[in-house]
Amino acid sequence: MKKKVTSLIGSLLALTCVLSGCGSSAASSASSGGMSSAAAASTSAGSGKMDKIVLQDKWLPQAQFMGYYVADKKGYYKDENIEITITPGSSDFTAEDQVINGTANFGHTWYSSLLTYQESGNDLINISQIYQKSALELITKKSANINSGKDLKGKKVGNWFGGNEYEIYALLGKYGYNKDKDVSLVQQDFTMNAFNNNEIDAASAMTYNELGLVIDDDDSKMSNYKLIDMNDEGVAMMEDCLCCSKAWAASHKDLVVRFLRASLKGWQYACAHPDEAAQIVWDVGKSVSLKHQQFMAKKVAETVKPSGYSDKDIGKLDEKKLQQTIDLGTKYGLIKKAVKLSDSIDASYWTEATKAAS
Amino acid sequence: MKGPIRKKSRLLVPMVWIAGVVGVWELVAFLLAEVLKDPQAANKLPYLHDVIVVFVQNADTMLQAGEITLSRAVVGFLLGISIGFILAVLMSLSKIIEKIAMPYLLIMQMIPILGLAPIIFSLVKDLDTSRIVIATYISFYPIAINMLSGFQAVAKDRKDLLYTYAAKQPVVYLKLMFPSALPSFFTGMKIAAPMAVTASILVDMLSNKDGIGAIMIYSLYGGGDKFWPAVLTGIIMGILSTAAVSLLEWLCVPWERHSRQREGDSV
Amino acid sequence: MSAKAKNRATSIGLPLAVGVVLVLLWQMGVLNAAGGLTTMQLPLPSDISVALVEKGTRVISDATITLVASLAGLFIGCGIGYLCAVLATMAPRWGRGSLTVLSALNAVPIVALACIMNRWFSSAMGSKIAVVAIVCMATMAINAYRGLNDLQPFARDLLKSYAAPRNTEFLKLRIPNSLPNVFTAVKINLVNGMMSALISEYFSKDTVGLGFTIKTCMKMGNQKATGWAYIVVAALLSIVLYIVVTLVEKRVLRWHASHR
Repeated sequence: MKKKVTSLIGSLLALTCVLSGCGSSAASSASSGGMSSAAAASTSAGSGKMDKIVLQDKWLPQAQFMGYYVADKKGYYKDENIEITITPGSSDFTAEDQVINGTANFGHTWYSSLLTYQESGNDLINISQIYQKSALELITKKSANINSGKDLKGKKVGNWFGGNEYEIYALLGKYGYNKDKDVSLVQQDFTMNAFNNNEIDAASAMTYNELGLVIDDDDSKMSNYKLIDMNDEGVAMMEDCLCCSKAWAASHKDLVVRFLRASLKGWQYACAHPDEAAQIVWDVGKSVSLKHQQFMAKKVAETVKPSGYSDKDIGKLDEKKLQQTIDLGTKYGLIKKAVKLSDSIDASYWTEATKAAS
Repeated sequence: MKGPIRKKSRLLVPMVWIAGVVGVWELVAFLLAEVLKDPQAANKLPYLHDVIVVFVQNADTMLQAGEITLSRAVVGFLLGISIGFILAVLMSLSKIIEKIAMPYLLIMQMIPILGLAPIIFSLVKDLDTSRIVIATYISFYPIAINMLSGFQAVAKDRKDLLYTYAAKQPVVYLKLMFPSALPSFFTGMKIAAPMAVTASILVDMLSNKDGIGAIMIYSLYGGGDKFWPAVLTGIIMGILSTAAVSLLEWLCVPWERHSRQREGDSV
Repeated sequence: MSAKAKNRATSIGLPLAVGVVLVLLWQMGVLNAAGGLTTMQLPLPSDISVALVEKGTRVISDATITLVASLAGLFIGCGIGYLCAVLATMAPRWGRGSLTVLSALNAVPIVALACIMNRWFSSAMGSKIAVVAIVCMATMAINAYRGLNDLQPFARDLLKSYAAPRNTEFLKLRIPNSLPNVFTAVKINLVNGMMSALISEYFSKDTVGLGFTIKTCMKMGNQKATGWAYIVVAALLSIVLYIVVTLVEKRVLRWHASHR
């Protein structure tokens, strides 16, 4: 008898768990119902109804995308009569995928990645090049004594692959190395464990992210490491940019310009106030430490607005650098045949957005 | 005399198991950290008590995320059961359907989310709906295949007996097939329940907005100490889900319960 | 004999015929049109074939690596799972907890599992095998436990009346009785195992294997057909393995109700 009672209590507990799970599902699906059908974005400017748009980030909410979060928080989108949903990225799809299949209106992606989608005939264009230089570095331990791409021969070199590997290929190609024979390429997972564990000699690291994880966001610890910079090596390929459908943009010209104007304003503010921007991003996605967000925000600011750039240069489409990306991409197999730069980018939205701002 | 002893051992067994698992975990963590002096010890297997401390410190976040993930798991699981059940009945009704469907069910299982996600997004164009579709997609297969083997295992003589009484197909299913297949159905559900939790965690990773999966990805990528507590939460949810199915089985299949008890007595 | 041959013909012919029709419709663009999918989102069979041919012998070496990882993991995982089921049967009061522990492990998603195993094993192959093994254990344990314990009521009584020792009961009654469930578990695990091998390869240190290539290609707009070609290869491998297991099952389980 007593045995039955104990098992009954246990079972009731389990049941409550299941039921509470059931009950809350309705509530949570209702609360998250706002994020739906991006394709329904309408242009009803002036009628008082906000234009709903969805921006797909390349990855998790972090200072890499701080401009948009700042613009949202500061109400810049609202000022342009835009209601924005910023969706974090995932390893199961790319930002381009989500723009193509209609789940998002804009995508924040790498230009090198965008090229592969353009080559296969997708109607996507780069409307603003947010990052003005490559932020990819190869980090090595000082003891390994690797000073430039030349010293990589016979080493274990890590990368994430999936389109991120072509700058490394270009670096190896510059020194005449065969990527399959002269080095051994290793895939990095989400973490920097393999590098910390001495399993790889040179690890790929974004200046604003993995680099900070290795040095605990403390630049003074850099003395233990060395960096190979893709910009210095002359093999930089352009990274973070904004893309959208060419046809959709043409029929929503005003909306695209307004979105871009608000976003660029957000980027300007973020670059001027990286600590505040980091705090805003941290409030959105708390799982990465605030300290790391602040480190990231500073490094991103240096990439979005490098020395010599003014606020009004943010997001401009530098044809020389973009052409170099196409050339290197074609040479090292990112794309089979060169994409025409004029088909790949459309500067008119950026020009329009910055003209109105001044 | 027998009663109280059995009651004690009923409580004793899970206690010893919990103590054993905790002990082994702590021991391995100790060996890694102190004996082997592995610099990656905290990444390979941190002390359970450390994990629990972080879990308690972040209890709000963890429970909230767990609730979101579990609620999606329940939805995916229920839809998975329905689809798995219907498929199993269809396949057991007609050999032709079974022969055609089996290889394609298999192929469907082999399409990774990486290939599937963009297609499902294209079809439904909505993040939340896509998540439910994918969670269901992952959950239904083990239920369908276990159910079917349950139907198939119904001894032919028993079926023939009912047919000699000129019983109609629905009657055969109601009186013989469903009850006989129930144990297999529950086996399938026991396998599928933690899978539904896993599916739900995976689906969290599609949007990386909320849920246990998002915490896992965030902490894997950005460091921090929440990875293992999140894994622990996932495991606890898995145990809960299996326990819930076992309870349901206990309630729904009383004849199994009795036979099990008889067995227990004789051992 | 002819009935048997006919039966075999339909079980191969029917799905094959449906498959041919499906592939034809797919090639004609009907599937893409029905779902509103571009040929990048769902490449046509001809594109996939071309991509497959372009990869050449690389496909075979990649497939071999993934196959070895998933089969090795499958054997180890099924072995541990079955042992736990035997343990739980011999000492039900104490052993059944092992089933709970194993199925709790199943609630760790493969993505997390792969990252943990990467830390444990310095060899990429080792961590892949470990992931597959962990994924396969619970399915086998739960299924085998049911098989070892769901005995025909009279069978045990019969053995008891012969005063058969426990070992005999195990060998002659319980283990044979568990075989159908073992095959069910192996069939489920074939698919799960291959899938987890693929996913663990997304995060593996190696830059080889079906999973690595699927991940890399799916992330690039101009290589999705290659990604799909590798998915097709993985699916075909699973089907071949599945057919092999089914044939073995038919041979081994002739006596069982489901095969009479």
